[in-house]
Amino acid sequence: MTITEQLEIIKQLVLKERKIVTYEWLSKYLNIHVNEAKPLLYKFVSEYGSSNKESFYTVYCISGVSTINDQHTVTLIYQENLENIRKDFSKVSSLHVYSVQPKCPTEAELVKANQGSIDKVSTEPVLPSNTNREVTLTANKKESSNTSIKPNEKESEKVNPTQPEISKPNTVTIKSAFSKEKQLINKQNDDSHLGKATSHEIETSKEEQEDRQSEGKQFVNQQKNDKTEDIVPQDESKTSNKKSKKRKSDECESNLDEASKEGRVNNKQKNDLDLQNTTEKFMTIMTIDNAEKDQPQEKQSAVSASPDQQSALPTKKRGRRQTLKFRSYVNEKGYTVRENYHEWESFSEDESVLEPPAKKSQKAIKAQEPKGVAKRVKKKKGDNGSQKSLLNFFGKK
Amino acid sequence: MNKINENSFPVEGLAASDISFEQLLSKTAEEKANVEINRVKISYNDMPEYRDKLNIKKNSSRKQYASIYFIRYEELSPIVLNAAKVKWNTGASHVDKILEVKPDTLCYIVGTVYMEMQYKPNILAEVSRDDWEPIPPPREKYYSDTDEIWLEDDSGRIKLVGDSLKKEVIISGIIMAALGKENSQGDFEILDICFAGLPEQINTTVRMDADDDDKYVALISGMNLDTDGALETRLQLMLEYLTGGLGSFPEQQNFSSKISRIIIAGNSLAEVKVVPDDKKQKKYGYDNSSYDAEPRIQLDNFLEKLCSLLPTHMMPGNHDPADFTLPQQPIHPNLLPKVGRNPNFHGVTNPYWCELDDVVFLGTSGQTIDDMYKYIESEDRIAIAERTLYWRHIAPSAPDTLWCYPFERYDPFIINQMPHVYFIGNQKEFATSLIEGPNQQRTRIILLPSFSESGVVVLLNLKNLKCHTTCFK
Repeated sequence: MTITEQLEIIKQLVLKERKIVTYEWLSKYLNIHVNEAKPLLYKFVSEYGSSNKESFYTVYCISGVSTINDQHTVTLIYQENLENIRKDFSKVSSLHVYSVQPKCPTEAELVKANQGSIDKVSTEPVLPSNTNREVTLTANKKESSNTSIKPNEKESEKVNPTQPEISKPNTVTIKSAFSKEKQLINKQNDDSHLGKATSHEIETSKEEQEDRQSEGKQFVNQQKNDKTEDIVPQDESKTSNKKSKKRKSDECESNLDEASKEGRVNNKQKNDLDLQNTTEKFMTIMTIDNAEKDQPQEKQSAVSASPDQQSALPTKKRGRRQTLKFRSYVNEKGYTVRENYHEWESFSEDESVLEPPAKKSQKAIKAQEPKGVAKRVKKKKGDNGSQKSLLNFFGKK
Repeated sequence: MNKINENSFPVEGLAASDISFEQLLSKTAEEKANVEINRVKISYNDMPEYRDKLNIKKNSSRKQYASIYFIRYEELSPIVLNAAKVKWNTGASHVDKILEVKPDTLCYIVGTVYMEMQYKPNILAEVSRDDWEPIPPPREKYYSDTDEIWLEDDSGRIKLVGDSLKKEVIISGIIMAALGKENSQGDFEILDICFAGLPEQINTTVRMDADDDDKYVALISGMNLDTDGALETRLQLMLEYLTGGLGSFPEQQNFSSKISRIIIAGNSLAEVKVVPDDKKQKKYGYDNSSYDAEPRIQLDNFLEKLCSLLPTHMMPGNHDPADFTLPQQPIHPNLLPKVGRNPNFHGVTNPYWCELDDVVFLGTSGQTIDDMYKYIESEDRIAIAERTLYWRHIAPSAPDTLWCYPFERYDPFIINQMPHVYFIGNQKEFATSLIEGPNQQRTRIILLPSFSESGVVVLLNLKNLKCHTTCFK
């Protein structure tokens, strides 16, 4: 990836996606050394800073000996203080760009911007691959973490950051709930997602494979499910991608734009299929991403997968699981009994989607349980499970 | 004993007025950017002879505290006696038992000091106090003019008087030799006192070679992660600096990459303050819904990032979820699930002995000095730290006013080997001094300030025992 391409990516991230791009995050995103990320950011600042009407804000980091107490100090400075800081430091040992963002960030946002990129790894599910893909994926290529680059290579250097023209109204809204941080890139997941989605492509277009980080992800054997996944029209995924909590929304978008032409050709056949299952949509979004990314496959990327790839990736869950359900019935003595029982059921959900309903269902179950228990067993004398203090005995005042 | 901040910043900085920021910012350092900087490595020895003494295996509190005083006396009094003999042998004779001191004879006696102070928390006073009286607020200092100093050994005790006592720092629990004579009231009038003196130091000339690379150990204490859940920017900056992200290439190469370990000296979590909530239904006993796990999770996340790139040793402090009594046991690894079993993470006791690259470290999280500070009038904490080395005991006020475990067979706080570095965490501000002993012992004493208040991390150069402080804002 050339410097120009990288600068374009940064521009995309900062101006269009309104992200906070710190040097550390950028180094992971582009898979470059931190010492390369810093001057890169500065190049971006100097090139786009004055000319562009779209402005952004820069935070610098300075380290040196302060004049106040002759103490080695490391601190962050906002761009307006850059010149003033001279008088506070008698010696400067290092000065570099810390982050670039659309507007002046708060401290909490800055800290989160770095943290988010690290947390993301564990929360993002990996798309399940189907067996076809496994077979077809051969090369153990490290996918460019910055997928937007692929489209660049495919078409032009320009990243077209426009929104997908096709936006289906029924895009999944769950994604919107997720915080910005989660959008930070986990290239790992990207690749894995891409890989999974690619399978669909591969089936149809027989494009070359790329190995998407299959690090022991679950390969759920649901051919059926995969098929339904294929169905998602690319367009839909585009918009839903934006809200996708799986980071790489940026790349998704850019991918979508760039590869849209190619992708759409491939996907049109799938577009005919029916999408009903909203829970599948999530996965489909991922698959679409992958579909998009599929295009620029051959493009060798300087940006290889981030080192985070080795960490555990969240997997898209599919399969049968044992859930706790409850039912009520009247037993032989005439008592209504509510009991909990375990039952196996099949599911296919992403963890992200899974979590909120899971929590709710757990809460619901827990709320039911005490009731059920109380009814089952004849009430013990004086046993009122909800009494919290002695004063309750005297009744409400 | 200079207390000046000896700042020796090894990286050549450019004068701020001269350089152009443009130049600094755009330094691509193309030829160097791809050079991998490796962190220096140092050897670690956790000194099993001390670690075993400080790790309490069988936790039984059914023992008397008299044993620890007895052991302390048994172990230190011969040393004190020898020192006293060397000092005073001409003219004065040693009296074995305090009870046998004869009036008006110049002699010297050895015993344990006990200070009778009216403001010292007294268990008998607490028990006999009537229930309706409010608990007196904790005092900052126990010192008052009415304090009495007694010297005790296994035979009896005698009160010490004299003006020379006021010049010295005297704490309950130290083993001391006193030269003087008994006066008509039965008090012992002091002319001079003597302590055990500095212990021997192994490897005194270890850190003198100049051709070695600089190697630093980072010392930090008092991060005080709090319930609001916000990891401050300075903690983030510190993390990035120590793990090698922050800073330009020259600084990284000459400085950041030379930091080989970090020792966290206590109080990583802030003190828990329960906010009384009238709306909530009052629960009798412990209300476990008031527990907020957020700071601990924050700490776990922080340590996980730190440990992945820098070996970390963490000592518990008085705010941390560890024992209250000294020696505090290591924080249980299950409390820090992500990092607890990480081989780069070492949860260690408080106080802590270790040896890094043949440099012996001794450290506490500050409770010892904070307690002794209450006994004396002066504000000089570093003087107290120095005195503890002369007394050869880390925490002489234990178990009198400082809670400790009732040891029966040994006293783990005795210093029988002079450490090269003696650090105390959670102090008000940074201070350091270098002690030199008669047998070429050299010890660097460091008082670590609380990071949450000052943002200071102390970097100790193992080569020459010099300190460097870095402030993160």
